[in-house]
Amino acid sequence: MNQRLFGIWLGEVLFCFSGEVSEARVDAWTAAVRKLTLEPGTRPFQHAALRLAEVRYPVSAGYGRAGASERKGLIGRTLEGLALPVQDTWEMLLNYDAGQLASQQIQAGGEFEFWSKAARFALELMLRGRISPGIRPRQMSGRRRTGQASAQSVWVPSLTDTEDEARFRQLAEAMPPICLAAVQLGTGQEEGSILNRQMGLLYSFLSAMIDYEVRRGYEQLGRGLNAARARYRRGYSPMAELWWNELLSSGDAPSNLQGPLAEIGQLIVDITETGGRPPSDQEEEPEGKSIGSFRLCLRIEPEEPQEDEANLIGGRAKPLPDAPFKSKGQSEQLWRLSFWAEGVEDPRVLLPAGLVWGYPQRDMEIHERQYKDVQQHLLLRLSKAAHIAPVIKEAMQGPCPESIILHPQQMYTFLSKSVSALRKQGVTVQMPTRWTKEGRRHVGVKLKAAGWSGGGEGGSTVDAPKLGIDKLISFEAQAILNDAPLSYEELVELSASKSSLVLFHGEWIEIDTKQIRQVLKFMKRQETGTMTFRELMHLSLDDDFDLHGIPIDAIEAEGMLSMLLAGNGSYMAGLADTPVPSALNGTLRPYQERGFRWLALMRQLGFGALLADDMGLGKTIQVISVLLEGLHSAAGPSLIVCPTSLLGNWQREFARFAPQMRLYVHHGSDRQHGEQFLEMCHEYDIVLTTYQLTGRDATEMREVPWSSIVLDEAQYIKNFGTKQAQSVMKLSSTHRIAMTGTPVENRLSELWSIFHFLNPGYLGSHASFRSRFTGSGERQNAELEKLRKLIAPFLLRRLKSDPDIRKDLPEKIELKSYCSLTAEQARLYQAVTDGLMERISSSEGIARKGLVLSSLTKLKQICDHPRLAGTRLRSSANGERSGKLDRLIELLDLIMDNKEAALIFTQYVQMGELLQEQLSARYGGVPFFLHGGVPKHDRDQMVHAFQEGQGSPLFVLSLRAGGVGLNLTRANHVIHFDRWWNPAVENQATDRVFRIGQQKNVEVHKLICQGTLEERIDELIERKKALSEQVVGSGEHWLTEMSNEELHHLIALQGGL
Amino acid sequence: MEHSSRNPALSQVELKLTAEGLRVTLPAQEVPEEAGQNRRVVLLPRLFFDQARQNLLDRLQQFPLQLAALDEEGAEAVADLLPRHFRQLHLNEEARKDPHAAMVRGSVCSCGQMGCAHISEALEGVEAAWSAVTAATRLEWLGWTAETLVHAVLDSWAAQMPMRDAEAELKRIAGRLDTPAYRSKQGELNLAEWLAEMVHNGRLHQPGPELHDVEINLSQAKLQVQADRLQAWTNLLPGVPGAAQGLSLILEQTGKNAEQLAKRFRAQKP
Ligand SMILES: [Zn+2]
Repeated sequence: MNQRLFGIWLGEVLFCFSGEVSEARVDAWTAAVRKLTLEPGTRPFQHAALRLAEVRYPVSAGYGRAGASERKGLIGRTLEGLALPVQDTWEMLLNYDAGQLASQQIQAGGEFEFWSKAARFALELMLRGRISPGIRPRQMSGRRRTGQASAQSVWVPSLTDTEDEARFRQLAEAMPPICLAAVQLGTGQEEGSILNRQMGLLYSFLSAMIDYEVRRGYEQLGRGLNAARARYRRGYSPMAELWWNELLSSGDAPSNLQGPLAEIGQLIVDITETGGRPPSDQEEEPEGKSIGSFRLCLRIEPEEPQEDEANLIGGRAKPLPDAPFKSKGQSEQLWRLSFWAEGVEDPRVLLPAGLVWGYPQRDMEIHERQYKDVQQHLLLRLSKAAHIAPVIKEAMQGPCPESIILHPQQMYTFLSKSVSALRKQGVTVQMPTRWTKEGRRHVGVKLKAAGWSGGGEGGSTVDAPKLGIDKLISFEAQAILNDAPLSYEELVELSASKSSLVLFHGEWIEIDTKQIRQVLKFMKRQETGTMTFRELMHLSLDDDFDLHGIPIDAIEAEGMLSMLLAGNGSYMAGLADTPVPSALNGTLRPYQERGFRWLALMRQLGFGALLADDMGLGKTIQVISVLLEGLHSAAGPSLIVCPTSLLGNWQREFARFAPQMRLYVHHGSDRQHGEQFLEMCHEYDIVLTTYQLTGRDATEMREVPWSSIVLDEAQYIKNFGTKQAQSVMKLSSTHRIAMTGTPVENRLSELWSIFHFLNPGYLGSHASFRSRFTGSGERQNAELEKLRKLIAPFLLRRLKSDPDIRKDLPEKIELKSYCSLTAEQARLYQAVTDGLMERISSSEGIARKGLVLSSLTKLKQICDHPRLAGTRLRSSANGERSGKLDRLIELLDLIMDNKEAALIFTQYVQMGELLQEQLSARYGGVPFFLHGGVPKHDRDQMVHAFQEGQGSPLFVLSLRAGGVGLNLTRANHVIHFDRWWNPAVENQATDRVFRIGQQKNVEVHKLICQGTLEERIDELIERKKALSEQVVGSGEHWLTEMSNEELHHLIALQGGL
Repeated sequence: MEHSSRNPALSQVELKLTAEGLRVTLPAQEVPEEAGQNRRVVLLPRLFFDQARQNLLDRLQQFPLQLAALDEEGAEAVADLLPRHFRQLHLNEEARKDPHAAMVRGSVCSCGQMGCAHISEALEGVEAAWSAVTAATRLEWLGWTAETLVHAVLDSWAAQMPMRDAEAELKRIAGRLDTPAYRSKQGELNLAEWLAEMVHNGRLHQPGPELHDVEINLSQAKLQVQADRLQAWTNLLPGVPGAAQGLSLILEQTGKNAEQLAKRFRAQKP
């Protein structure tokens, strides 16, 4: 790809830039430019520093980008570029060759021709000894002491020779406008006429080049200069001697003369009097009118035999009578090359040569500018051009040269040989775009999405039963030419053109008239209109989409809509201002608050939202907050559907964060049906159920008008065909939330199903979706990129690894995962409890203690897995026998998806083995299992291998086995499969991953079987911790000290799960 | 205007262009009794040159490049358009057969005789002077300066253009432009607006046409360090005796280094 290279002199460096602002493009540009190699094998940009500069540069480099109103002034923009120091600037410009740059895919701006000529001018002056000591005032930096001034010694051009001064002035006049575009004080002259500024800048540039080159020579002179130096003594010698010595110093330390304003001022006067003052624009403007000048403009256009002569302004073409092409066949395309005088200071002034020749006076006045000796100027410009282009010379063989007719061969020669040389010399050439890089101009339509039709952003869900994606958006259409807006009048003007070549904004462009007429037709009909949000999104992303037969080139939106189109959830959240409900019993982390606001906003807009934050970031609390926030306006209950293993979690979280919300858990064999169910729904705010039961009780579920539906672990509906998925889709609600912690955007069918639930129809039919997005290859990648953009507005996924999120997270997050017992576990548990309570009253002393401890161990083992209790069932798979194991698997699925690693602690070797077996079956690769029986050598090897990233990212440990000093920082998850009664021991285990070398936030998961002694003990520990941080005793003996009643309370199975 | 030829043989013929024509003053005769009125003055009337004057104008109209060169470099640029011989100037129908005789017939001598020998002598002198003087002088004898001639050609071009009213035409074209935005009411230039206008017209990077005019000469140059300039610096630094010497050294060293760079540059560019 071609890179552009622009250059502006900033007083000390040549600031080179591309005009690009996107980071990626600037990076690509920097890489390309750094590689640029010039003739003597130098790479001028190799070590150039990146810097920012404020430059008045158009947003888009395209011509006519700005509309009439935006044209009033060019705003300074901060651009990143490379700062070329004087030495490299000097080398680069002396060796500058546009062709050489072009061969390295670098397109340099016309200003480089100028800078290069200026550098050669400096070289010539040095060659002839036309340089002089000089002085330059400095901007005082920092504290400004009044009455103090600062200056520096500098070598300057000596322009006392009138011929040199004239060339200096001409060169300054030729300075391209871009050179004056830096918004920077302190270089050149900031005030006065353009010419004055140009002169100031050129003088600064020449001085810098000369100063560098002169001081470079000091080294060769060596001691020869000693005799020339002044014996300066501070306080005794005149300031001039200090200036002189600084002029004669190598320049490593920049010269800095400081002194009283009067003294420095006098010194400046003395020195400039001696050396000659820099030229300036002395020309008095007659009666406040400025002087204008002309450049030659050449226009090429097709010569059509039946062309109406009247169309050409002042048009008399003068083909040479004996032009060789006259005899050629009709089919040959002829071209007219015509001559124009273009205002240098005001390029809108464009006069045909015929008018200039026919004008009876020498001077013209156009728009308060005086153009002197107009005919002579044009003549001079033409004759200079004739030296470059033979066809112009040919045209200059009779009075009043205005144009010449070219046959194709001449045309080809002119274009290939003369045009670039002419342009370098300041001639403008207007020609059909066919020969310009841009090619034929595209006329199209841009839509400005004005906002939601019918006022108000979205309105409330109550009066807008439609889902957000079907809401109407009003738009305004705008015709554009490439990227620039076209007014209706301009469009009409273009469409009226008989030829495909049109002069437009000072440029000769080629257009497709048919296309323009189509656009005009569209604009007549559809200047404003409405479309659904879905159409808008697809239009903005899909090339295949069109609006009433017209392809839409660009869509512009403001505020919320633009955020939606850009798909930037976090930003959108910033726009919404819904406050976190004060009733929430807890504090949201900053990113959770943003997530909450985003969810609230999505509800307001009527969009289904997919909250896909990483596990551990607290999706549940964000959803609870938004349900709580909507509580007062909710027309009915909200439904939460989750996997069975998460029922407990939800209950807990509601109890903790929003205890005032009435929660009905629709689960178990004693759940309500029919009328009773509907009644329950009326009484409660939230109905919590499982995917399974949503399928089983589909009829009842469908009857309730849910105010919100939340799907937790929404990947459960990935198989669209299953009964569960189908039932979920059929539920009715105007507000939908799906939650998942998996990287859902990479799982296409899952994604489609979830979106079909959230925003039905948005992604089209499943079949069309599949055929479009599945597969691979480049095209597919592009399609997937579109898909990503399409879903972006409805998807909020934050990763723990985002620095922005990470800073809000504690380094260690403790998460309790509640799980339920399976029926088998519950039965076993109950049996053990009953047995203990039955026998305990009859036991005492050691026997009682023994009974208690063995029963507690048995209960804990049952919570882990029935197999640990010594029972074996033949048919059922091990996985489905333990609610805790199920929960663990869900957790590990997420961890594995995120390519993270986990340590799993259990107290029971048998459980460890069972885990090893289960996990290797599910994830492949046998996890290490470190327990008391592993010899030291093997243990070290396991730890080493794990840390090196070899083998399974899962590591099972028995707590006792993990001695102090094990470093397992590869893992950032610690899962306590069963509870240790002493938190200190648990903490010690956690510390194996939470230590120096750990790069990630650590998550500690504690699996707790709900309604069992595990939960009770956890509460106990929490309570004690909260009271005094006094931790319960280290052993389990304190448990044996409990009364029978206390013990019963501790172990009795509670809750209906 | 007085013109004396540099040719010693003709040094005594004095030529002066007046409103009536070219006055040729012949040198004094050697005959003593005629000493009082020995300086004969011959007038070659303006009429003789009018035709040539017009001819030059007509011909130059056809050669815009030469017209430009005349404007830029002066009369030498049109030397080839001027008659080679003086006698070719007077070229009406009648004179074509015998230009010399026609000239003699048309001139007047201060001696009062028609067609006297003075006239032939004067014509001979003028003929010699014509080929000896510069093109500028020849132009002047025809009544032109480079500037008036350029203007005359341009005026004649203007007369040829079929423009009913150039002033109105200019107004029409200028009227299509919006009013210049980038000058405030005080007439001060607003750089931001000016730049915006340049962008709008696609001229942001375009150098001015003067870039074409500036010629850089990097051929080997004799470095001249002017003594008076050195003296000026010495005056500024009375306490630094080595200032002039040092300055001179620096200029020379810089010149040498520049020469090295220029050499490389010359080698690159054929
Ligand atoms: Zn006589």
